[in-house]
Amino acid sequence: MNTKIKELRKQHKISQDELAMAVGVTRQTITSIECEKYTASLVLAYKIARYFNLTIEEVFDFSDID
Amino acid sequence: MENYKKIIQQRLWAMGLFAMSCGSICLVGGASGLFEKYTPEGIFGEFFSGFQVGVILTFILLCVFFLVRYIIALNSEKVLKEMYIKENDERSVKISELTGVRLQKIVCFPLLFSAIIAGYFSAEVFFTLIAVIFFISLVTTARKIYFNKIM
Repeated sequence: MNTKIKELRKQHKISQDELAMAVGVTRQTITSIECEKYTASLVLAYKIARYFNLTIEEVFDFSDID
Repeated sequence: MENYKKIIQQRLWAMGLFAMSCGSICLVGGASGLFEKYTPEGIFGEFFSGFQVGVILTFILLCVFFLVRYIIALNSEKVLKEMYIKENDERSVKISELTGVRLQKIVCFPLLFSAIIAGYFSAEVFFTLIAVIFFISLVTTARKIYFNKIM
């Protein structure tokens, strides 16, 4: 699934480690989500979106899903 | 995090008790000559007693490692949080579910225990059980590496 996490991180100038610690996952999980290897759960997607003060739809691209 | 702290304290006690039990078995068995009395004779007997001591010592060393790790975590909030995240990371949990790491632990420990008991009676059964443990561990590790790469 396509996400805007990488762009948002760059905008807010935060590292993968900082984001991972804030949302309660490992850095590898953030890397996998950014590389579209892993699809985040609803809870994790919500935590990431809330961290950037955005909605889930603004961070994650659901256009691929029918 | 308070609940996790309690879990770590419980694990600390369990590890301590397990390490002490292993140490006691090693001391009592070694000092009383019980191990030597029932150990099969010949080359297999030597290999088997060495294997037995090796397994017990490995368990003790692992316990000491985890004990130190848990004590450090209980004294530092940052380390505790890192440990909590590492254990409860959703991707790692999913990989563990897919590879059957929990099942491996549930199956391999009783098999290892059975192998040690069987070693007193039959070399064939002992080596078969060890081969099964080795194969299960190998498959689980290979699957873990694979899923870590694709996920």
